[in-house]
Amino acid sequence: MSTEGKSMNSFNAKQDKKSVTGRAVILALLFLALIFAVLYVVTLNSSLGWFAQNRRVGGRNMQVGVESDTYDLLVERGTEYDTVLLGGDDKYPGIDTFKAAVAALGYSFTATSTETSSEISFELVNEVATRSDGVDYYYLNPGACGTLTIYLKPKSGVSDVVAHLDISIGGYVNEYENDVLVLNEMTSATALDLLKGHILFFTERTGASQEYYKYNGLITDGLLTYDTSQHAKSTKPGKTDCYEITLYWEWPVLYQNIYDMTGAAAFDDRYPPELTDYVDDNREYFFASIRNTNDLDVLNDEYNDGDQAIGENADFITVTITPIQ
Amino acid sequence: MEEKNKKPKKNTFAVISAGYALLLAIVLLATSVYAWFAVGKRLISYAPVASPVSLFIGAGHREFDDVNHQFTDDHFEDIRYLYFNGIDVTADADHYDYVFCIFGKMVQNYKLQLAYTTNNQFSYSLYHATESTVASEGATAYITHTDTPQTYYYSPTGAAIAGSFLNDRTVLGETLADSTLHSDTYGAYSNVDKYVEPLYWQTTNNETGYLRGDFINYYILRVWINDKALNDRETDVICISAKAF
Repeated sequence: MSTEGKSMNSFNAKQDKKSVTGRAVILALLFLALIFAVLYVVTLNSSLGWFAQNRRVGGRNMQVGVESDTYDLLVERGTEYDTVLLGGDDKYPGIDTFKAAVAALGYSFTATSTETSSEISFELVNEVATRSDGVDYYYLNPGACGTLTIYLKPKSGVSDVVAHLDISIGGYVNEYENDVLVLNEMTSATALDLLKGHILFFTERTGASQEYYKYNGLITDGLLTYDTSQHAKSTKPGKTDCYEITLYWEWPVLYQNIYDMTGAAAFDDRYPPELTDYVDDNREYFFASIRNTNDLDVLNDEYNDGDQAIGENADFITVTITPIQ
Repeated sequence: MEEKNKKPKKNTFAVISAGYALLLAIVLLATSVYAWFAVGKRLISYAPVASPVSLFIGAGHREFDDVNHQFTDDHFEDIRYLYFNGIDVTADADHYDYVFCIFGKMVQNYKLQLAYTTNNQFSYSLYHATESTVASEGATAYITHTDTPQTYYYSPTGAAIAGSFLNDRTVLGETLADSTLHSDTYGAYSNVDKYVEPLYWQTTNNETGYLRGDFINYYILRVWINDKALNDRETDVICISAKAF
């Protein structure tokens, strides 16, 4: 000790202090690493509630989760309909206020992937334009239809995932409050119900144009299950590591159309047979007030009143897609 | 020597405990951020919804924000407030002006139509009007039917709005309706006085509404006395209608 002490004595005290401090820093870093490792496991477990896609069924052993988040969702930004017009006018009045409200919820208008941003917002693709003074407006109204496309990218090292996506529809409405126009989240239960029946989502669509579209795979409970083992990856350039999930939506103009065009035995089989059951089981999604009747004239009127109620209670609609277990 | 070594030991402990505190802070911070991230992975797709088309005829004034194309108040002046009072053909005035408005939402174009009987041999013309809170020469005053009545003044702008009759004829200097639209008005009923066969007049060009929001346009309906010289209590009916395109 004393010889060591003497040899150390040839160093100065400062050097001695430094090396001890250095060791402390290394210790602290080790602690930090350890804590982070523990934290990582803890948070992974807690987030499993949301992203448990690594648990596989069907004869395979359950994977012990080191990666919980097994996929990312991406969005390809196409044409933006709501860009400002020449002269600085909002193309859709109030869109700025609406976007501010959505941004306040944490949604990004510029990100394209949940890898870089946790919450992304993008425009619904509407194929039906209203043309006025040489400008196309893409309002959602009865008769509109279009697509909603997202990409699912399994995390590296993950082969197949079964994604469960909750698809819920809501909206915002401008309301007068003490003579001031305020943008509020839609609260009318009637109108929120009506949205579920008037804007229908399907997983498949064939046909060359709107007139000839045939739909299949009605989403009835707001839940889309997507098993990547049942699908091929996208062949689009730059997206070959992703699965392209396209939903097709339509707002039928008349209830008569649904009535006449549902099921193989109908006049036309535009809509799949399950739509009949969906209507019968959820009449409040389709008809405004009188629902306990089979009188087609009354039902047509009630469906029409439903369109009116949506128009009066929603200025913007939102389709929220949330990964769930 | 030993005493010298004690000091750095204390320091080591201090550094480690400080490190611990720092770690705790980082742990807390990291946990909250990560938790938010985990539940926050969502997408929203949005779309503007078209409002149901609406087109109304009202009397004067409605509160309107013409920058944002929005009515700022639920109140509007009902068309029943359009009074054709105060016409005195014996006075000097050769015409009387009345204000009305067309308002609505999501209507790009519309046309106006007047249908009227011809007892008085008045003639009518329509003008676009501007609204002001200040009185001016030739302006028509309108007092709102609100809790606190406000007076607004409307002045015609430009020439009379172009239009044409669908069924007019001139008989001995009088403008009357011909029989072409009789059955549209009265069906099979034929016992109709010539002055009660209504004249139909429609604007030639489209009037402009606003597709992307609310709009309001004010009009002056000018009633020309023409040659009438006697207040003989004849009555006439005039209908104003608007149709969206």
